[in-house]
Amino acid sequence: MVDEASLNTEILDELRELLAENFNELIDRYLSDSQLRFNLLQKAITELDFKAINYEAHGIKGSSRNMGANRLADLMGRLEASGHAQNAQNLLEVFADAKSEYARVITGLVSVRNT
Amino acid sequence: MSKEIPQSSIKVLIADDSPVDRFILQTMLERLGYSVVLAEDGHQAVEQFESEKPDLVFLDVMMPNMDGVEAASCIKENAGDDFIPVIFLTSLVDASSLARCLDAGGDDFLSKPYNQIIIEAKIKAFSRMRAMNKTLSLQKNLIERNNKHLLQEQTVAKQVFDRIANTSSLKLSIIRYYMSPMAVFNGDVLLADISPTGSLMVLLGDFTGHGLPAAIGSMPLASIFYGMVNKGFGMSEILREINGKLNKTLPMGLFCCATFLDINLRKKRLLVWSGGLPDGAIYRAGGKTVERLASRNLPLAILSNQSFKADVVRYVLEPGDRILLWSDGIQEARNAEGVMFGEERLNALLEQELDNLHIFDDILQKVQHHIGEGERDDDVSLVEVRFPDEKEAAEVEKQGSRGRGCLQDWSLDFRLEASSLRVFDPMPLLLHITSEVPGLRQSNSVLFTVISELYNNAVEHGVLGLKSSVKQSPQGFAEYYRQRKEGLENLPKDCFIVLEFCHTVDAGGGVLRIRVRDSGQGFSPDETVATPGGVPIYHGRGFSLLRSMCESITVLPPGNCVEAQFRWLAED
Amino acid sequence: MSINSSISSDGRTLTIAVDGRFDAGSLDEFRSCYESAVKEGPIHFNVDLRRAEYLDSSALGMLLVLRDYAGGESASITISNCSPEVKKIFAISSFEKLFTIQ
Repeated sequence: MVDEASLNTEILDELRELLAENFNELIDRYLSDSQLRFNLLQKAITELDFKAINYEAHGIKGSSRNMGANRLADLMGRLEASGHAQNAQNLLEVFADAKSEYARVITGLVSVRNT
Repeated sequence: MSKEIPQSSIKVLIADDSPVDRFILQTMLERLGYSVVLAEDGHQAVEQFESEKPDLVFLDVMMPNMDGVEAASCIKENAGDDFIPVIFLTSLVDASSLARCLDAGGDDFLSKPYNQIIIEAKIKAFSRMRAMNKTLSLQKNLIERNNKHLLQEQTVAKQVFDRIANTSSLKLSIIRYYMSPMAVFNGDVLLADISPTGSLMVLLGDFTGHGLPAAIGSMPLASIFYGMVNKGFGMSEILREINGKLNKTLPMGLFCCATFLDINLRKKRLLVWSGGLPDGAIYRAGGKTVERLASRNLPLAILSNQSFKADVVRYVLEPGDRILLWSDGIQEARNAEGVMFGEERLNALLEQELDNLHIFDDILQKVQHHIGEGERDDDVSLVEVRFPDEKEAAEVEKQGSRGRGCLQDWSLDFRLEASSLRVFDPMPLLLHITSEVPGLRQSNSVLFTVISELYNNAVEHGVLGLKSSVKQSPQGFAEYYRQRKEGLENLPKDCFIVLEFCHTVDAGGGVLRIRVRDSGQGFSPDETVATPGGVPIYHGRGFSLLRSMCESITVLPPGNCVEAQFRWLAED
Repeated sequence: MSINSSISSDGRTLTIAVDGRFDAGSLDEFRSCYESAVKEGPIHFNVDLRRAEYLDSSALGMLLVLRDYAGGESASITISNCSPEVKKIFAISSFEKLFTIQ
């Protein structure tokens, strides 16, 4: 069920080995933290609050990179850069891509969690 | 596994607002065996740092409340000289944020996703750096402490020395001197004082070596010098005492080059003892000549007193004559290029203008000019004594003669009753008193023999009535002393011995009259002299010794009282 | 006031060093130094007066008694490290004829 393009299974395997019985907890933490940040990011984009865009996108980027969600991390990197540059161009398009990518990541992680 | 530092003893602080990243890094570090402390923002990070004192810090850059860059600054400031590695949890995106992190004291960066091998390598590298830094900082503290300690010691030593080397006599109008600040701590010493006999005594000394070890010898030197000058001892006796003391106390290889001047203001004469210092000079008042004071002796502390001889040179002085002494710091003063001032330059200067009244200033000025920007740890010592006219001499002498003195004319009657005769040895006490007269102290060992002969005659022949003839054989010799011991143990109560001392000084020195009277019936001195070539006789030398050592020996009737006149001669 | 003695490595010379006063008070100490050693057979005796500060005529007597012990006429005794004052005392008593004075 894991989409290789959305989640790096090698990284996930390493994390599973590292965290052992805490692996599920890690996934739960990611899910709740990223959900919270996604909501804040959406709000910031609506309000064109560049500082908040930069901050929240950076946060999701970092933890996504650690979870192996590289495509999502890349998209967040673009949003972070837009926030930093105070550039509204393509902001909504990139965020829409990020949202659908985020859905795939969630699906993937939930499936990994369940196994 | 690191061999140098056990991992469990290394504490790591992780500050990150992301629960996911924090959790991963914490798990990795704990797996590696480190102990971990957590913070969720910059503010907490600083608090945790202060309370937990971690060895290493991982900081996220973007955090609420206080960002990682600011937290890093606080942590680095808080750590002071202690090296705390700070590693930022970020990828290097742009140059300006990299610069901010480095400015704040960041030591390294860690990018995501986290890799356990890289993390372990970084922690080990930083732990080693930290350990080295700790050692360095300990050594630096130790050096700083030692240096501070040394400066304190030097200050105390200088105070002690100033107190001993009471410099007040150096303030006399006829003395000019210069000692560079480092001279005292390189073992140069200048002492001057006026003796009760009207002599200005000056000693310029230079101990071998540098620093405190060189300066240490000046303490006993100064205390002997002042103590003995005050009591009126002559130069030879003072030198002998100093030499003996330094010879016994200084380690091998440490000795003292010195020149000693005894300038008698009344007799207008100078006695010079010079051992190892550069040749001093006498500038005569009329100009025309400079006489050099060549070194004629080995430096102090080298010879034992047995072989020490004071070879003294005598000069007649006129008012206005000036005597100059200096230590080898003058010749050895170096300029910035390391060239010494040198013997030749100095000699040329000394010969240049013989009527030069400003030779002291000239030498000093030329030497300091030569040094220029050169060495500042020079030990330059220079002293000039000008022989005063009669009026000034009287004033100078007055300044010197405060609250001092030695025994001059005196007498002492000392009566020992039977109970004391049995157990008491009067010799140390009597020699202690006679040695308060400098002239007698010089003859201490002869005086011992004289008083000992007189006293033992009174005990053995007078009080105990022993016969010298008992000492005809080695067995008799022992028997005699057995009888003496037994006799003293059973001494009748009414026995006594009276020792009368009367000392008078005169122009040539002084006379000590010693009269020993006992409670006996009187005895005739036994004056047999050992028969040359024949069987030696074990007695009968006492009186011939006495006669050879004393000016006169008189036996007073009825033979229980002997009077000896002992004369001593003043130096010069 | 103390007296110490030592025998040379070849066992032939006994050195007696006198420290401080050398007078009647030193009698027993001085005698025991050589009486215990003579049996072991040293041939030469050396009395070291380097540290002897004072002496009187009883010391002269003790030295003569030592000479008798050491064989009288055939005795080989050196008195070393004498100060000028002590040398004078020995000269007055003609000791140079009986001892080697150094």
